[in-house]
Amino acid sequence: MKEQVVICLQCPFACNITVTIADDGHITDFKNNRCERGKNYATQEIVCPVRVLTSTVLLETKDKEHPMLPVQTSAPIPKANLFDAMKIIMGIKAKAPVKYNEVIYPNILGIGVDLVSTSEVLE
Amino acid sequence: MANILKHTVDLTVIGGGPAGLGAAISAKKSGVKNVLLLERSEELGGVLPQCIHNGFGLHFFKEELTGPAYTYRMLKNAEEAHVDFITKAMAVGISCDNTITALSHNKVIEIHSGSTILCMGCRERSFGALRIPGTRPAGIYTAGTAQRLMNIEGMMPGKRVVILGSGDIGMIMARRLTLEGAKVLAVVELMPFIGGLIRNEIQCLRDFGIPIYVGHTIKEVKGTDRVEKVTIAAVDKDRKYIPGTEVEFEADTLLVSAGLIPENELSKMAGVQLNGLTGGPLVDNLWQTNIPGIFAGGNVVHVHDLADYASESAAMAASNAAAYANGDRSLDLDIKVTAGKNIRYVVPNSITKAQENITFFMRVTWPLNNATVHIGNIYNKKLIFARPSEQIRVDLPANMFTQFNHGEIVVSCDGEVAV
Amino acid sequence: MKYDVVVIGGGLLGAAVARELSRYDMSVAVLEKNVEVGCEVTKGTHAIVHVGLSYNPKTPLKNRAEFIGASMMEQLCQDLDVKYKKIGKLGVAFNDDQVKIFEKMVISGKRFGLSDIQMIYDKDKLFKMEPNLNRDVIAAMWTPNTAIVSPWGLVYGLLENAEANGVTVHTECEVNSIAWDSIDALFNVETSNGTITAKYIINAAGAHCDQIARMVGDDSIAMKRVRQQKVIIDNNYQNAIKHVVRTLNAKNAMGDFITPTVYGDLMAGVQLGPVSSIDDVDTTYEGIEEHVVQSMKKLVPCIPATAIIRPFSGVIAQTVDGEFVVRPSKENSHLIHCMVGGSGMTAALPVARYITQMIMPLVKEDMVLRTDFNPVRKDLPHIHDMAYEDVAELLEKDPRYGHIICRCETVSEGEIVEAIRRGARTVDGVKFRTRAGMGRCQGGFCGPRVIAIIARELNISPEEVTKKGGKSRMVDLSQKTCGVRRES
Repeated sequence: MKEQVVICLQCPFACNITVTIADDGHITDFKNNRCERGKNYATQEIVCPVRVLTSTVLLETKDKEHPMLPVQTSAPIPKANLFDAMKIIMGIKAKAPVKYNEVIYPNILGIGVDLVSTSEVLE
Repeated sequence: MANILKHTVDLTVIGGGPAGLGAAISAKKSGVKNVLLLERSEELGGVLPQCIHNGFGLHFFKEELTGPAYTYRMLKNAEEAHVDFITKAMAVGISCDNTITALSHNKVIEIHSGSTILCMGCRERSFGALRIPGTRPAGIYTAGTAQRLMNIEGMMPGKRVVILGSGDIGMIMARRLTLEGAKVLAVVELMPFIGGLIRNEIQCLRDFGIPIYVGHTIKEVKGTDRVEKVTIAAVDKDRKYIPGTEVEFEADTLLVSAGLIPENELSKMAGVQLNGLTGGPLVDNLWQTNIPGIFAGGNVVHVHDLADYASESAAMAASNAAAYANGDRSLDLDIKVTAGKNIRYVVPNSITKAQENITFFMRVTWPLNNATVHIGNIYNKKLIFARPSEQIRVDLPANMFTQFNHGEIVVSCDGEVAV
Repeated sequence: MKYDVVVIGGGLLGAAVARELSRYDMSVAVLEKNVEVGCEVTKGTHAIVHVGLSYNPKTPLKNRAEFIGASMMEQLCQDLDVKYKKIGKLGVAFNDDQVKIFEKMVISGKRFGLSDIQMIYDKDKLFKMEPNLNRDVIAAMWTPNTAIVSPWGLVYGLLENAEANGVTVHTECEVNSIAWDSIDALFNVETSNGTITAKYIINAAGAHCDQIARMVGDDSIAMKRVRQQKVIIDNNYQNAIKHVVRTLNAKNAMGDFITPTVYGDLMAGVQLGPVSSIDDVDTTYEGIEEHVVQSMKKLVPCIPATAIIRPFSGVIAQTVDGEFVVRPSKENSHLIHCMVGGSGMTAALPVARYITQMIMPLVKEDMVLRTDFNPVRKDLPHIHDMAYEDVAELLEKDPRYGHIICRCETVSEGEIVEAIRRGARTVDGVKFRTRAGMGRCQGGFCGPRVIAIIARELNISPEEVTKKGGKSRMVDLSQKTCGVRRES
């Protein structure tokens, strides 16, 4: 059995939730959380923390004045995959025009999450 | 002699960032016919197009967005509201009669405006202003400059990086640099606590195991051509270096994220009085400055936590500026608002009109737990905690204040010291 | 490459000499080791034109040159379109002993010919002249003719004018060795840019004068180098003082000062200290916090330390006894030393003329005055200083002057492009010519844009853009990051 503290980011209170984890990996107890959302968040953080990855990819445009296109993963991806995803992102070259929220790279790392643009580039 | 182009408009917004866009849209929605927005950059959005991280929009659009996405959404709204704007147009002069001079493309424009909303935003405190000893080589950037280099220009500022200041931009850049393959050697914070949001401390620093040195500052920068070495040291309560606590980093880059300062060079030209505590104009509850018809909103007044709040405050300013442009100029109150104990600053600085709700924004000087904010003797707001990094907002109906006409309201906060 | 005269050093002195020589029909080159001119001693000088007050019997040449130079500066700046302002100087006394020292200076100054120098004992008058001056000041010495100027502005003006009159300026041209060819009676100067031959050499290498001298076996120049630490104060405080305000140091010579600059901000200093090497331009905690900031508070208490936008330091070089060295080398009379220090800026023009006279008897037949010499040079447009009508006219010719890049100092793309056309190669070169990045945000906003413009105009990669030459790259594209994504 061990205890782990997770700082909850679900609201500005930022509770320091103490999570008790049994030897078999099961979570057995939560302390110092103010609400139920905290429990879910702490569980996710311990089992498989996820983050939305935002980055840029190279963009081919006419004027060449804006070489980068901002992108993000369409959903949070496991924290452990961030650097693998970056490796792929570094090799992507998008071409203008690009619509807002357009899929730039589908199903990144085969985890069912797309890379989408977060801006619009007309030409 | 070349012509100076003359324009007459009902309302001018200076600055096309989240505040300026919010203001222009709000002014249009308030029924002002001719709204002109001036933006000095090539495109609208202010700093947001380079803020590719998410965390924007939750308040304004009820949806989590990246900076570029927030800009996109704002631009769509501006388009629908038929806001006129000129980009690459920098306001270089403004006088107290709401005459604005701008440089734009191949023309000098003189704009005679019914009212004006200042939305110039803020800038970063520079390395020079910190007076750090040592050499002055290449490789020293503010976090925002590095952000622009990476996210807009696609260029890396360097490989081995020390970041001074734990504001949100500094922490976000620590993550961004790490993801792009640079090594962030340390995030150094003068205060004994992190300056930015907890979320960023966790997701930008702790997630990547980036060393945090609170209560430290940079003692010396060395490097002939490019940064070669950065030495940090712990500081005592007088912010003097403690001998023997030095740590040296072989870095090629130093990023400075040491606070934001409202940008009011233009405001001063019109005779707008500034608040020494915020660096922004002194404003009343209508967000009007001491110069009639000149209003201010967003980070030009005080630095907001989120772009959403900057958009919102500028929109509030805009609805009042719209009323002014339409001829409603009556003021019925004269109440001073000042910052008291544990309050670094409060906005507005005066109450001049008993109109709807009066919204107070403030920041505490030090982290407090079980805090109580006192709006004079009128109202107390209890808070579980109050942190300097998180602005506190109190909304109160205007009729609560009418009895204090010609008086002063001191805003203060007490609680248990948290750090 | 063959020249009649080679001037080693593209600082203020070298520039002044080159421009004086350009009056004559002969070939002249300036060799500057750095990528930008005027970026060593010149950049760190006070920017104050001394009136020639510090009369010292041990330094007759310096006294004379300073005295003449002060009277020539205004015309020179007018010809070269360089900012110059006569604002006067107050030497302030905090106690009776200091009053006595200033009184002595007034007497010796008057004897030397400075008739308008006087003491001010009337405090009302004094504080009316300088309302923010510390009220502990009891009297002051007033020199109405003290002026401020832009030292690097002078270098650019002098060299651009010299170039227009036929002089060649070689930058990134470091002199490695000098050999005398006695058969052809000329020098072979080995440089990082190849061999350059010259009949005469002017050694105007500033802090490196002794090194150049040693290249011809001349050990006669004994130099000392002193670091000056100073700060620039936000132009929000530009009205805080109106004159150069200076106090006495511990040795009762002119010491700490605070002065307006020609650009509207203020400069304060100066902590003097020894340096370990010529390149030691570090600022120190002791120098800035314990000295400059304190002296600033002592002189003008209303200016807070937070108004400082940049501390900096420069190394000044002078001979051990303080006297100028302007004479042919004892080892080879075809090489002429031109070593000044302290008030080198003020003295630059008379020293340059003195050198011209010195070469004249040597070369005789070559020294023919050019009929087409044009002493006038126009600076690049600075829209910050222009009336809106004039800006409008400029924009019709070139809209790039309407695109503001540096917002603190209102510097346009047009100005930056023009600065590059006139020789700026680095971010600092653009900064000193246009002021882009000099203001309160210190390049935070314009930095990336300036890099992009330099890369575009010089047709180089952004990675090749440096702050000040050498390895001072601004960005790093060498790793597999967004930088590489951009390049691929």
